[in-house]
Amino acid sequence: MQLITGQLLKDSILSDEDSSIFLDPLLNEEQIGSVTVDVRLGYDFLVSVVTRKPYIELATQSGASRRGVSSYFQETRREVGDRFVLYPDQVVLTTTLEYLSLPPNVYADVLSRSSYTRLGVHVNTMVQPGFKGCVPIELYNHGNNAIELVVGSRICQMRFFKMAEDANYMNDANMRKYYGDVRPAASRADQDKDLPVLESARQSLD
Amino acid sequence: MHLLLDELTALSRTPYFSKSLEQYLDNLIQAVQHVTSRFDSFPSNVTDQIAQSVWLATKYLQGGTSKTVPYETVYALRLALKDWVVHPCAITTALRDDLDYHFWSIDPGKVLEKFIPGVAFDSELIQIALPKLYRHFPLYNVALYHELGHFVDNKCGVISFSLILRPPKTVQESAIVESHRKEHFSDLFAACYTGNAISLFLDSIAHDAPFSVTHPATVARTKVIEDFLSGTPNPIVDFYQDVLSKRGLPELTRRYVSPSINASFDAIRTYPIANDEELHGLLDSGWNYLCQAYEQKNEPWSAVSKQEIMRIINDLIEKSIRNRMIKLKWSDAINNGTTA
Amino acid sequence: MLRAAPERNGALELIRLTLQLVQRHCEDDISDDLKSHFVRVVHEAKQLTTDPANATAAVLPESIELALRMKLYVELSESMEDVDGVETISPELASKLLRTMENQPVYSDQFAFAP
Repeated sequence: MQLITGQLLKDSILSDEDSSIFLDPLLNEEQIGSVTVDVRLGYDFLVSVVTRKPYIELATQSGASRRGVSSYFQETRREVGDRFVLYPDQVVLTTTLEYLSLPPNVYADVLSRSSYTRLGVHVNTMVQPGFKGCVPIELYNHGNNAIELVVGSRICQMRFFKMAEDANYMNDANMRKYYGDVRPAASRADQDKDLPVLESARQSLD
Repeated sequence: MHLLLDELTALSRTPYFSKSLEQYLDNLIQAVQHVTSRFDSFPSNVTDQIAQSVWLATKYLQGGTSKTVPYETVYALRLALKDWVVHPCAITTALRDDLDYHFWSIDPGKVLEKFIPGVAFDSELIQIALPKLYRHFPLYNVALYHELGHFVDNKCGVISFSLILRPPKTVQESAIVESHRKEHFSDLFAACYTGNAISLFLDSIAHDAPFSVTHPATVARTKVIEDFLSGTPNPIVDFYQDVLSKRGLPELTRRYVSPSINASFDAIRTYPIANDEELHGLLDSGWNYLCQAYEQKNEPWSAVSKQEIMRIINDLIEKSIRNRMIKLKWSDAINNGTTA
Repeated sequence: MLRAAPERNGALELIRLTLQLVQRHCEDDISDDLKSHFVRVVHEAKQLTTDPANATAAVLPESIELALRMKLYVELSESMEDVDGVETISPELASKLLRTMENQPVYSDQFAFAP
């Protein structure tokens, strides 16, 4: 496994080849550094909201009904340049402004840029090889103060790793849940195929 | 009027308006304040008329505070609107709970300006409404181009003028003639921008719809569109061109270019739209691509459900349009001397 | 798209308003601007009814709507014959014109949904 850096990184991003790293829109080539690429805050947000239910249920016990995960989030959209305020202890789902397409032999880490980490905004996630879509970002404000973010600002950085073999993202036995998403999607943890198995296991142990 | 003024003032304190809507709202508040301060000096029928149009404007503006504006759809329609309406327009959107679309305008300024000296509204307030269910499905929003056709017709008196030029043969058929002319005109209008996409959309929502008093049969509608797009002589198309010419309006003509999106969409990548004609044409290309993908013979669609195919393709179109908007705004900002 | 095309968005709003003011003996409330507008619409509508093929592009949509009604309803057309300006309309004539314009639907208005 090899970290893609320098001219190789730049060439891959600026190339149109199917085997390249596709990032659209790339508003400024200066986003491409020697080791990482800066990516920008997107314009679609899912803001967590408090409801009457005291917790988010992921698994349904047999015979019971369950509130959908997406109902715990409210959609809101902005234009580039608009402000978005992130409050302390608030979870907000968003994406990068850029649409990313990774070849099957490249995966990526997504980290908050230090300017934002120092404000209390931490992002640390990864993107699977073969990923297509706007990169999901889970924003959380660890600080005491609300932070005003600007849509389109360079909030995260990505580093890319080339693998020895291709991974088969689309043909995996478990179809990837967030394929081709261009806006944040609420968690689909409740669609995990293991959950009914675990429920069945729990009942058999009783 | 006082209640409306309170409502408008509350709206002015929300942070979600675009600049053009903010300006419009300020003008409206000032005008309404003027009316309420001199209420007794206006005849009651005048204040009734003003109140009604201000009420409608308030309704439209309330839609403009939505945090879920379908910016991409609005952008595409605004581009099309500019071809037909030269004066500035402030656009609001509404997401409907039903499956209807509309493109309406209200102009309280029309009455206010005639009764209140010094009042001037320099833009018209328009509301675009689409089903909430389709807010992220641009392929279904080709219907809004059809609604824009109705809007242009109403604004410019296209079909009304056609009824003077060529009245219906009998009074009995007059209502049907007018309705059908309106629908054919709006279909052709939409086809100027979306090409065959409007036919494919009609087919998907009203495949076998027969002749009715309000609408021609779908098969008749798609035939006229087909003739227009292929350049086959058609008396309906020719008649509209004559009417538009006499009204000093642009002719019905292709205003789109269908981009070649296969390479991008096969790779599940956004398409880099080059110009406005390609932006409109993306809907035509998108529908054709969707129909092919549904056959699920080619990669990457062979293992993907139809529901997911529909979602992914619509998302790629929406994102491609949004990327175009962002790139233009960015380069305008840079060209205006703002440094990055 | 499957429901009827929208109702004419108050195309004759100003004409009706002017007639209503005359009907209520409120001629003093009609501004010069509104009077000029009324004259223009009536004049253009009359021209359209006699020679539509030579209509200029500058004809107002309101004039087209009025002309359409005049072609449909003989009573309206006859009543409009001697109307040159607001001053030539009596309150009784204004009532008659309003009645003709408001009680008779134009073509497919019966199928339209209100905004």
